[in-house]
Amino acid sequence: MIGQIIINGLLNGCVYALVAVGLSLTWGVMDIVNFAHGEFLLWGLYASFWIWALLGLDPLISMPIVIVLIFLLGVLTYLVVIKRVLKVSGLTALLATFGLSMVLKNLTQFFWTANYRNVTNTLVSNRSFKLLGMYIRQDYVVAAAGALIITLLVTLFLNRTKTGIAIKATSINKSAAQLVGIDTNRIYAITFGLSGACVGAAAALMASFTPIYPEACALYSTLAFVIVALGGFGNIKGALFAGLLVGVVEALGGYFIGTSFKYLVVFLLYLVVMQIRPRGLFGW
Amino acid sequence: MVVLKEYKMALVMLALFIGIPLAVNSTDVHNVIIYILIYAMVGEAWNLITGFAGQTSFGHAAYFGIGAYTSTVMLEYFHITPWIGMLAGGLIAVIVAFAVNFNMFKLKGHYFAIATLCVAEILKTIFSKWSWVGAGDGIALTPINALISGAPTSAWGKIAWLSLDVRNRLPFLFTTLAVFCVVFIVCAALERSKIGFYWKAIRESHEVAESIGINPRNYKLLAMCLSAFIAAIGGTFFAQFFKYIDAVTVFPLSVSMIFVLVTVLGGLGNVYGPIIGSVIYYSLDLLMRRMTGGASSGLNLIIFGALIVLVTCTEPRGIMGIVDRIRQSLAGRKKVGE
Repeated sequence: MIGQIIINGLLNGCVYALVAVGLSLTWGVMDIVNFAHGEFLLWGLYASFWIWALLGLDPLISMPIVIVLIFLLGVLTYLVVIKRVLKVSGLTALLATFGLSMVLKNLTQFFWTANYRNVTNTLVSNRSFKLLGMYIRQDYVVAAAGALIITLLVTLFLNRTKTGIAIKATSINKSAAQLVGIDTNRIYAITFGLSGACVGAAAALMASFTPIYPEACALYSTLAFVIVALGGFGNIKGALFAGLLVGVVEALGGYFIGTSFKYLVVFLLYLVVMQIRPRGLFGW
Repeated sequence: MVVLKEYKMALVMLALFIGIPLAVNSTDVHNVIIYILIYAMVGEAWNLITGFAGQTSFGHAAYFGIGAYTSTVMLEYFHITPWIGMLAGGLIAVIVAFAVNFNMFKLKGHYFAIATLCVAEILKTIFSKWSWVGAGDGIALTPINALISGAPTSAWGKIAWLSLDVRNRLPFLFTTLAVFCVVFIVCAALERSKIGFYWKAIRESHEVAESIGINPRNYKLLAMCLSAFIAAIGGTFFAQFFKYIDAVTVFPLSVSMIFVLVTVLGGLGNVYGPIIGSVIYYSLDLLMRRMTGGASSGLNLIIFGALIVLVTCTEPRGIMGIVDRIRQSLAGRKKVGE
């Protein structure tokens, strides 16, 4: 039974981790708290839904399209809004992203009402298979595997490509990066796009089992904030492990204390862990 | 006279806050002004810890909610006037703030901000499952008259301002205004005091503050406790005004964000910030709702969000920045004229 709970938690945690990795990129590299992150996810979900409803493409197949769309949304956000508030001290950037989140969330309500929408008849069914005496849902496994692959790809991109290394350099020291000829403006635009791409992928993976409505992503974005901080800012590995940990803790809390208290356990976990490691699990 | 000159802006605003409700006899406008005052009050509280002491809080809804619940429970279950309830709520908020944050200030920057968010979310979950305070159903406040017939000894219910009965909107509005004025004066005095300077020193540089003999932890804790007390008073007024509370109305992140929003919009670290931001936020909100015919389509919030983005992109220092700029250009013009 415990094994079953932990498996479910891990599968959930993979998707949490992918959303958090996206947030971690902008937060760690640019020190921008993006309150519109959840809304990026929301737009990803709606994109998946409409491609499925209008073109009949399964969310898993249309994933590249959604990734590109939300990548563009991220770049656009940077060029139109974030660029202007980047240099300002204080909480102005936060305010700008908050305004943006209001716009993005309510646009979905304005266009497509507050009704619940569901993607049905998906490629991967929601049936379970039995493994080592545990029931495992197929669509969860696919989503978790996809999330892990994307996270791995992002890590490889950051460590192995020239652009990725430039992103890391910019996050460590912006002026030094400029000195060696890195166009930080371009790097920031790419980082924001990449953050969007992560969320776009997460949306495509979740679309088959998540009800889609304007408030669908509020919880994911709150959890993403906690996960990123728990892992340590700007630390992709930290975000991944914190995501898995949160998934497991949430599942265990839900089982032992009660479903309605599962998030309480997650928030308590953060407060306790921070007492021991004030800069996150993987922070230094 | 010096005082008058220095606080000219505050006096003008006070005159407007007294004059407009008397001149405009519209429930809608009165409601908006009451909201403005309540959120500006909590905005002032948030400004103490974030604007002055430099510790970002995303969880002030925690103390706001404690204030709302304490006074409501005392009024509904024990028939105690909200005036005492608000002080009790403030006290409980201070105790909670002290206990929670006693060891929390070793977290820096965003790590601290997320911790405050967690505290509010934990309280939200507890209160939404705690059956003694109504759990998911919340508590609906009964009208004062019904309370009095149940408990004939409580004579305080007969005087509107004493009972905080919202059916008498104007007295309620002016009571809120009076309490807001007290909060404003306290915050302005704190800013000018030694404590205020210590807070700003900590905000600018933790290390330098430490090196001149300030204990940052204690002063941050003091800021947090004072802030929690004021936020709880705001919560009491909200509960009395809204006449219904549940965990989802008083504790969520979106409520915490309103306090952040009105203060940063007006001007962070400025005592006028919260009130100016709140006035703009809620007047615009009312205007948008009227223009777009209700809140169901979400169009009002789209325009509203776009305006926030526009303001932050063009004037990063908030509305106070625009005010400063206008004042400067006026002063410049005067000089040219001479």
